[in-house]
Amino acid sequence: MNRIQKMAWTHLISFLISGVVVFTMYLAGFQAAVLMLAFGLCGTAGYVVSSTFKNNPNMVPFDERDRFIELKANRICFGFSFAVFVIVCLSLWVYYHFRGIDTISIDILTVLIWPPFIAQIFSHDIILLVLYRNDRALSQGEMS
Amino acid sequence: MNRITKQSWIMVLSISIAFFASCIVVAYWAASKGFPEAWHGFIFTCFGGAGYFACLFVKKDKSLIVDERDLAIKALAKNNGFIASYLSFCFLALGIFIYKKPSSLINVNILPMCVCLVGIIFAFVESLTYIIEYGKDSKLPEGGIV
Repeated sequence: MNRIQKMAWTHLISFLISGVVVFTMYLAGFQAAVLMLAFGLCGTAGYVVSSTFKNNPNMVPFDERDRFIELKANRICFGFSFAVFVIVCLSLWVYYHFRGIDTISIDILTVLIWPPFIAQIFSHDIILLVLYRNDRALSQGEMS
Repeated sequence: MNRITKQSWIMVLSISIAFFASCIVVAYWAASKGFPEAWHGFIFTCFGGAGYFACLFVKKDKSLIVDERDLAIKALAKNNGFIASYLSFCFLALGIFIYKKPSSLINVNILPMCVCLVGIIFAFVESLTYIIEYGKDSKLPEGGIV
């Protein structure tokens, strides 16, 4: 397991922990702002911890294969988050439009920022791990 | 100039022309109808999406081979497009939120308009990145570092 895979696992675990923490706090009756703060702190903690991981001196730190995997993971996760954004926007529009509601609260616009963001950061690590796993299955010199 | 660069130029030009045309419409409607109705003129920017039909007119050169450099440029262009479109939506949403009162109401039709805007910005930045990256690459000598 290289440094990037360790980082991806750490991010995923921190997101899962933050999800559990937020759900527990929600059941305990905390306000939405406190829940968002808790989610942000737990999520950021994973990124801070993962930044302390060091490269293995016996391995190449970051070669062309890693670069391609990184670019491919970015492309897929951005596409996924874009799809999430389009689906959320159009679902809301269909929901309100067909109930004859012409106006919505302005708060919805700021809430719409979050679904693609969460989809992006969550899917990026999963896709990265899947791509590294697929790549490892190939023999040396084969095209991925 | 390869096929992707030609398509990108057509896309950039079509979006730019559509944007300037919609600015003229907004100015005209502002004089005749006034704001906020005049803002609806920006919907004409969506006609810039017609640049996607460029793939029908710019024919594919079968002798060319898509190599790793092309794949890297493609991934970079898509990444830049997604980042620019997401950031522009964030700034737009927060800008409207700050400009209006916190508890005010907005028209529900702003949601599909946001989708159109994000799509147009994505296409524009993606095409621009193709033009810049292929343009930058063509100045390097053969075998040079990309």
